[in-house]
Amino acid sequence: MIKNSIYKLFLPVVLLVFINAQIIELNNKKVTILKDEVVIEVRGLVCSFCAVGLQGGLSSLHNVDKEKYNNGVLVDIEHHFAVIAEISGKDINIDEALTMITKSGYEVFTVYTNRSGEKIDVRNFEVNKN
Amino acid sequence: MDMAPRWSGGYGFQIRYESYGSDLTVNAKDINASFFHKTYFLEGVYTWDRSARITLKLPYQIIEKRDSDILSKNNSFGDLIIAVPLKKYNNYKSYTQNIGVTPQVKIPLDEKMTNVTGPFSGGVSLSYSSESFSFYQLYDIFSWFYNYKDPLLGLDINLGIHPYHDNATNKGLFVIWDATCRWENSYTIIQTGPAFMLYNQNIMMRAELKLPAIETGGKNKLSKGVYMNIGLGFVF
Repeated sequence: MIKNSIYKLFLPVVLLVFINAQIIELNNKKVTILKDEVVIEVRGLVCSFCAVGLQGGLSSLHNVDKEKYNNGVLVDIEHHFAVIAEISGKDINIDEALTMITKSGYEVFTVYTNRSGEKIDVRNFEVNKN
Repeated sequence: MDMAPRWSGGYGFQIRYESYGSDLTVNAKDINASFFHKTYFLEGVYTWDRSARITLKLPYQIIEKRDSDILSKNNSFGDLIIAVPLKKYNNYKSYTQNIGVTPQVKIPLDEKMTNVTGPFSGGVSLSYSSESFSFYQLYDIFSWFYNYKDPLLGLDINLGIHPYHDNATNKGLFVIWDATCRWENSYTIIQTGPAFMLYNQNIMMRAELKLPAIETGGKNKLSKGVYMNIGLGFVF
């Protein structure tokens, strides 16, 4: 009985998330690109202590949903990417995010967005894939 | 690690305690003398952009000497050390590296210590470090030039692994093997031992303990003994 209620309550929510999400493989990790998130692959993003600067910079952008992750930003140094959570229906300025990453001492490899919830847009940047 | 803060306008400070000293000579003989040196450092860093930063180290030192029955204790500010690390970073897919050149000067603050350390000293270091998610390495060769004694040449090597990291909280641990070599005219020391670095967001703590693996000098030269270093740092 209780189990059925849980299914009824959570199944629509789970389905809604996956309808608005696409999955990619990023440096050997499956990453879900949600409609209101931007995923940025960053070159050389391995230094844990340095990730703090990147996190702080990206959190300060407009329209970041600071309720999610660490002030709106998740930095994965093992797989070299950052996820920025956006306030629902409001986009961050991606060019500002790229400038912030450069000021933080890194370079951007690829930007993934899923604005429609159905298709991932990919922006690649000219860097060596060493 | 040594790369933070690498973001433009980043700054930080660290409080650090370091101690070494012994009552035995480099040949482990007891000559009824001792030398113990404890230093508290206040250190600061400011990063203009990732290629240029400035660091300051202000030491307060406590030196205890004993020669036969004569004891002496000296508490004073040591030399202020100002350095300008210039770094060239290269970011690759799964690792980052930098080469650095660091000019540095020591400025005596206490007249008592001017007689010991001389009025002015200058130095330069050349370094290379690289870091991946799992591994860290640093090589730093440096020299100090004094106007009252022969120069000092040094080499620091850090090789570390990264056994724990949590992306969600940015907490983790590095375990490092640390080796330090110093060559002076009549004295050589190679110290080695483990270092542990814990971090939690923008706070870092490093603790290290090193023993002299090789130490040579005059027959009455006192050993530096066990070297201990504990630091707590913050970056913003």
